Amino acid sequence: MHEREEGRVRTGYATYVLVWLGLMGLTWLSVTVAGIEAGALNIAGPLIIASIKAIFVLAVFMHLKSEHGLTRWVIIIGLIVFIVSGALVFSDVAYR
Amino acid sequence: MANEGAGYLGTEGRPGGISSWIFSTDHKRIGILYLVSILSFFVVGVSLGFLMRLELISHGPTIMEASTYNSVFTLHGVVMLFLFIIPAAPSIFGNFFLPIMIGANDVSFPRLNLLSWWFYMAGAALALATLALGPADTGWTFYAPYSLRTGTYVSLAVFAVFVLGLSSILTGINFVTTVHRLRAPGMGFWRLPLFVWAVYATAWIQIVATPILGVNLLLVIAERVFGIGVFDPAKGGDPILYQHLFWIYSHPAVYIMIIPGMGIISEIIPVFARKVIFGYRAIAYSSLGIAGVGSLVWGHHMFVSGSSYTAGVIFSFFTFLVAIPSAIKVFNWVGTLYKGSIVLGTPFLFALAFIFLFSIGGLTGLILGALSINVHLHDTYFVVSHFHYIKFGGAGFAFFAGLHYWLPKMTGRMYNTKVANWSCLVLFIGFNLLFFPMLILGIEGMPRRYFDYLPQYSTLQIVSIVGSWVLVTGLIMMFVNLIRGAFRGPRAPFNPWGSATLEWQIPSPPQRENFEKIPEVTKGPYDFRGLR
Amino acid sequence: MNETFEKTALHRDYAASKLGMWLFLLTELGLFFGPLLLYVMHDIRHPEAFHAASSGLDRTIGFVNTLVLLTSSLTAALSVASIRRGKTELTLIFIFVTVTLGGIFLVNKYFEWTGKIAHGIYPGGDAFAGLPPGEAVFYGLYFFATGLHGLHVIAGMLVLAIAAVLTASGIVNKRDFVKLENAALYWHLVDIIWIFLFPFFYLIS
Repeated sequence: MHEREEGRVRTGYATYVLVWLGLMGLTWLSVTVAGIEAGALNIAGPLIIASIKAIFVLAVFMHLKSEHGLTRWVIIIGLIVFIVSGALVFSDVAYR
Repeated sequence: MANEGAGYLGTEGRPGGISSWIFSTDHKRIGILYLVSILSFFVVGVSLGFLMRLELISHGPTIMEASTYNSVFTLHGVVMLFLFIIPAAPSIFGNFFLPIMIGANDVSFPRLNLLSWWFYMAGAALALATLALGPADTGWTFYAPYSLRTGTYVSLAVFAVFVLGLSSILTGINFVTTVHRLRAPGMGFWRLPLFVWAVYATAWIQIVATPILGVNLLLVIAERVFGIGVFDPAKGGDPILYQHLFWIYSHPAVYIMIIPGMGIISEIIPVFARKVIFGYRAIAYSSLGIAGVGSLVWGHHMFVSGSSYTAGVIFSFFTFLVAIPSAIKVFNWVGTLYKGSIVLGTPFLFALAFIFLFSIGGLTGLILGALSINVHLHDTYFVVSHFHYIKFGGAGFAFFAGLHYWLPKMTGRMYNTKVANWSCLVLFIGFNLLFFPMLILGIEGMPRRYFDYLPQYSTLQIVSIVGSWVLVTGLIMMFVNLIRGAFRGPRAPFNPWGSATLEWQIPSPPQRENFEKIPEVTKGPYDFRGLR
Repeated sequence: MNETFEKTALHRDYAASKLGMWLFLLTELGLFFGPLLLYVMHDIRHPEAFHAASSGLDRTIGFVNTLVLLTSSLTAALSVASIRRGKTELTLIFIFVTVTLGGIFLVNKYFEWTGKIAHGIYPGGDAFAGLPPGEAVFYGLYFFATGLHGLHVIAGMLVLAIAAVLTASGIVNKRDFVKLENAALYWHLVDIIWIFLFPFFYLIS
């Protein structure tokens, strides 16, 4: 158990604070983007920003970056299933 | 290998008090807990099904009213699916044998494992409580908008299924973690017995799909209690979306039922053919393939629901695609039998029955997967027959095969094999007598879930009802024989079938700790050299 | 002796605890996938009604709440960082701040909900029944999704409180901190779910 712990990367306090500042900034950005009347950007913008935020939280706060492969696969498999399922339901609702 | 008095069952003749069982974190005792509880609910489910058939013996109300009939088929579905066939193979055999087969002393989270059983019992209690209060009459699918309006205890039934789902998720998490973390030295992924592969693939479906059913059921409760409107057309909601969320789980759930069954068959076939299994990797990959593609076919339950034609074409395509990994398995089993030195043991007979019945189930599934034919056959007896061939003829017979294969290991005693062989034959005849006429009735247009029928269907209905009697006779024969064997049968040797997997290399019944020393695995699971 | 060693090893398998937790987090994502999928599909069916209903929500409260939860996620991460450096007191302070921020989030949410309820806009309310079809669905989903999320915030606060007790009593320490780490993971997940709920309900459509 000890070796496994020693092998893991320890993230510094400063990294967390920097990421937090980035997240705050992105939140502000998403509200601003949503305020501009720019058609499709109104919808895509906030969602893309939300995804970037989620990736930061996953990678840094939840240490997925330094976690070994399998754990990353857990999330990737889940995402694939959700996206594909969503697309299949979309193929019904959008073409009804 | 004499092990008198030191098995996990407790000291000789004294299995210990009830609390040493229901609070035990030993995976073997939890397996037995599941065995006893799941089989009890199976008896309830069989009785309900038997009464449903009996009701149809003459026209009009015979032994129950139409509304009672609706409740009976609902409860039959809920009990058989959520209390019996979904947990049967993974929770009983998975719990008991998965750790032993990979050379571990327990699962990764033993306490969570026990909690999972308690959730199972809580869910079962809630489901059966509706029986006393006023059972739901929606069918096991709880389709909106009817399930939102009916005055019966739908919320309680739905919550029961939610709790059962929680139990299923915990079991899944436990198995995936166990397979990744607790394999014995030398037990690489390509040395895993195929049953372990199957349970592993199943566990992934349990983890990924079950929450979606869970939230769907919560939405039904919220809809009934608060009226949030998402499935209610009057408020702009869409009942078809209910069906989507329901089948996103419930179709893969069919694979939760059948994949571990296929795993059991993959264990039994090579042992009784005395031959290395043909296409080990193909079978392992096809388990993952079924789990993956099988998650994309749910729309074939909704071809006539009003979902789009585009969706119909896509789902029909995937439905045909999922037949490929299933067929790969069947071909590999048959390939294993070719030129094997076959021993006709009881588990093997059940396995053969499985292959036959599952093939009928699979092929009728392809018929239903075709968009145009589906319009004609949807919601008829053809569908009922098809899914019984898959779930009972497939998963159920595989489960019985597993019982006959592993019970000597679990109890340390042998049943009467002659009676067991006869019960297999009676079950096989009864099953086909019961469900084959339904295929014809369905093509002739007999709708499912109807309390009455037109005179021209009488003959085949009667044949089917007589079939249900034969089937029940077979079940009684089988269970009486197995229970007698478990308590009073002669002592079973540690490896009666000459199997090569790890669970047969330890005493019957296993000791409290599976392995005194964690074994070093040096050969594959179907390498019979040096055995018998 | 060997046997005892294996037994302890079984219960202290760090990687297994982490893997189990991540699998559990995946099931939580699946739970929220349902309402979000329904949201997108209903948005496709009733775009105007969703737009109208969405502008009835207070963006400022949503924005503030997002900042509150993001900050609590930071302190949760810092609590794990400090226990790994053996600073128990600092850990406890960070957990305390996290739980407090969770409380602030819930108070904000409470005011937002009661504001809507006062206007009769809630499932079963007078104004709700009179809403155009799509708008009723929007608010139905809004109450369901944020309500379910709120329950998860409460659960996360409880889990963190338990982790704090374990830390104070030394069960969670520099060498063995997986319980706190898993509690923090759960909290981050609650945060991630909100990161998506916010744009869906407040910003787009």
